[in-house]
Amino acid sequence: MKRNIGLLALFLYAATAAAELPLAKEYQSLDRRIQTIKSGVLALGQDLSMLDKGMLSLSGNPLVVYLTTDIDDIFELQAVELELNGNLSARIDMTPGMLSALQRGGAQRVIIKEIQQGDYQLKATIIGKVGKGREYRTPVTLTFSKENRPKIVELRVSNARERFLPNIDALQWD
Amino acid sequence: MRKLELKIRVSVVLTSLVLCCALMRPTLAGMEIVWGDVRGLDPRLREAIFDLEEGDYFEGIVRLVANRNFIDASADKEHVNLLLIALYLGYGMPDEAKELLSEALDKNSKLDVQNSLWLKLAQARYQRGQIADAATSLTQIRGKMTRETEIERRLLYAQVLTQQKQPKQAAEVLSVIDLKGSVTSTAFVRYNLAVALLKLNRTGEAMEQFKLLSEMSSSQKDLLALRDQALIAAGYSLLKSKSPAQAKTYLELVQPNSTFYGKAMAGLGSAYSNLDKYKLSIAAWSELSKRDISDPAALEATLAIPYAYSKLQAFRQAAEHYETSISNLVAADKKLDTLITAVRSGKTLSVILQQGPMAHASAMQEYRKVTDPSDLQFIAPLLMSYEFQEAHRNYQDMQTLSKKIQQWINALEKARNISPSFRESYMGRLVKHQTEVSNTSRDLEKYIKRLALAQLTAQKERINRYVAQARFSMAQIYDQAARTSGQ
Repeated sequence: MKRNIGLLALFLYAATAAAELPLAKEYQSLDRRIQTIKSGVLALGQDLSMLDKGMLSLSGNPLVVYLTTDIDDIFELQAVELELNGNLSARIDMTPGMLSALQRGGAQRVIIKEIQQGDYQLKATIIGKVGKGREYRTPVTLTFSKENRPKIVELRVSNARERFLPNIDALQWD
Repeated sequence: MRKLELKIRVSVVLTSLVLCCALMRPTLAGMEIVWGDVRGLDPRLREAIFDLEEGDYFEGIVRLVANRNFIDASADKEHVNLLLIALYLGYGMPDEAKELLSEALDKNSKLDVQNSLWLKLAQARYQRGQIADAATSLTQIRGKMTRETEIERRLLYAQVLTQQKQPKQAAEVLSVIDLKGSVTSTAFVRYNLAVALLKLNRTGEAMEQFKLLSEMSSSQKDLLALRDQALIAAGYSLLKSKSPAQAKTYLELVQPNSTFYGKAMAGLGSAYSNLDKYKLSIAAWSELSKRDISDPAALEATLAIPYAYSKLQAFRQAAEHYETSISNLVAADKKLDTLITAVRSGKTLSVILQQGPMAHASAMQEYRKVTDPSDLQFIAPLLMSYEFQEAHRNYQDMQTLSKKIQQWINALEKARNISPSFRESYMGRLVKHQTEVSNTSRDLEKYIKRLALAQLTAQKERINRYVAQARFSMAQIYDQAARTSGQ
C-alpha cells in the first residue's frame, strides 16, 4: 500500500504548478526585501570585515598573501605552508574546488594578518606530486619591509617547462 | 460509461504531454563566464574570481568593494565592475547587478563578458517570474557571441516568448539557429524547436526533428535522456493526432532504465487501446503499475487497467481494479490529511528547512533517514520545485547573514582602538539588520509553509476527483452487470 500511495503522490506533481501562482507575487515582494537587506548588510560588511578576521583593531593595513597558479598537468598541488620569521603561520590543504577556482584564474587568500611595521621574512613552500606520484616540495623566501599600509604578496605557482617541475615566485603588489 | 472511459484515457495523454513538452536547456552549456587571460592582474581582483568559483559570494563582494580603491589600473577597474556584477548575480541580487550593468560599464569593454552577464541576469529574472524584465535583459545583448552563448540566449528567449503566449515567435527565434553539424551537437535546439513547432500545430516539421533525435546515438547521459524525452513527445503527439500505430514505434524505443520509461508504457498502453488491442494495453499498464520506482505514470495505469478490462467485457476484473484504485486513493487522501496537519503544526516544515531541496540522489537518501518514505513521495514535488529551491536558498542566506551579524556584534564588543561613538553607531545598525533578517526569515518560513500547503492541497483535490471518477465508473459497471444478469 505504501508504494502505491507514493506513486499517487508523484503523479499529482504535474497538476500542482498552477496552485503556486498566487504565491508568485508574494515571493517577488519577499525577494526584493531580501535583496535590500543583503545590500544593507554588505555595506556594513565593508566597514566591519577586518573585525571578522579576528583583528580587533581597525588599522586596515594588514599583510595579505595570495596564491595563484597557472599550473596544469605537470603538478598536483596538495598544500601550501607559510612561515613568517621562522614561525609556521598557515598550512592550506587544497581541495578539488580550490584547485578548480585557481585554475579558472582565481587568487586564493592564504593569509591576512595584522603585523607591525618592520622587516620580515616570508617563506612559502608548495607541496604536491609530480610525474607518476612522486612527492615534490619547493620553497620561496621573500624578505620585505612592512610599512604603514597594506602589504600584498602574490605567491605564483607556474610551470617551469624546461625542468618539467613547478616553480614558485613571490611578487609584491604594493 | 463511454464518456468516463474517454475522460480517463484523455487525461492519461494530456497529463503526460504537459510533463514532456516543456522547453529544455542543456546543463551549464554556454553559461560559464570566460574571463580571459587574467595572469598579471592584481591578485585582489583575481580573489573575486576565486570567491565566485567557490560560491562565496558575500565574502567576494565585501572583499572586492573593500579592495577596489587599491586596484589602480583602469583596465582592472572594468574587471572590478564585471566581477561585482557576477558576484551580485550569484548572491541572488539581480537588481543590484542590473544597476551596475546598465550604468557603470564602458559599453564596448569586454563585450563577451557583458553579454554573458546580461544573459545570466535574464535567467535570474525569468526564474523569478519577471518575464518582461527577462525579455528586456535579453535585448541588451549585442554583437557576435560564441555559438554556445548564442544558443543559450535563443533558448531562453524562446522560453520567454512561450510564457508571453507567442509560440510563433518562439519557433522563429529557434529556427534561425544554424543546425549544421551533428545531431548531438544541436540536440537541445532541435528538441526545443520541435516543441515550439508542436505548439503551433506544425506537427510535420516537429516530427522531422523528433525523428532525427530518435535516431541519435550517444553515450552522454543528458543526450540519452533528451532522446527518450523526444521519443515520448513524438509518441504522445502522434497519439493526440490519432496515429497510434506510429506512436507505438516511437514509444517502444524508450530505454527500460530511463526515467521516461513509465510514460512510455502509459503511452504504449494507450496506443494499443486505440488500436483495440486491449490485452496488450493491460500488459503494458500492468507492468507500469508494478514498477517499484517513483513514477507518476503508474497511477494513470491503475486507473487505465479497469478501463481496458471493461472494453474486454471483463466487468468483474474491471470492478476489482477500480476497487483497488479507490482503496489506494482513499489511503493517499488520509495520508495527505496527516501530512497537511504536520505541515501546519510546523513539524514537517522544520525538517524541510533543515534538509533543503531534493536536487540530487544523495539529498533523497538524506531525507529517507529523517522522514517516512510515504510522506517523502508527497512532499518530493515541493522539494524538487524551483520555487522551493529559490526560497530555501534565500532562507539559508538569511541564516548565514544572521550568524555573520552576530559575529560582528561579538567582535565589536571586544574590539580595541575604536571610539565609543563608532561602536555605538555600528552596534545600532547591526541590531537593526539582525531584526530585519529575523523577521524576513520568519516570513520566508511562512511562505514555504504556504507553498507546501498549496502543493499538498492541490494533490488532495486531484485525488478526490479521481476517487469520484473511479466510483462513478465502478457504479456503472455494477449497473451494467446487474442489467446483464437480469436479462
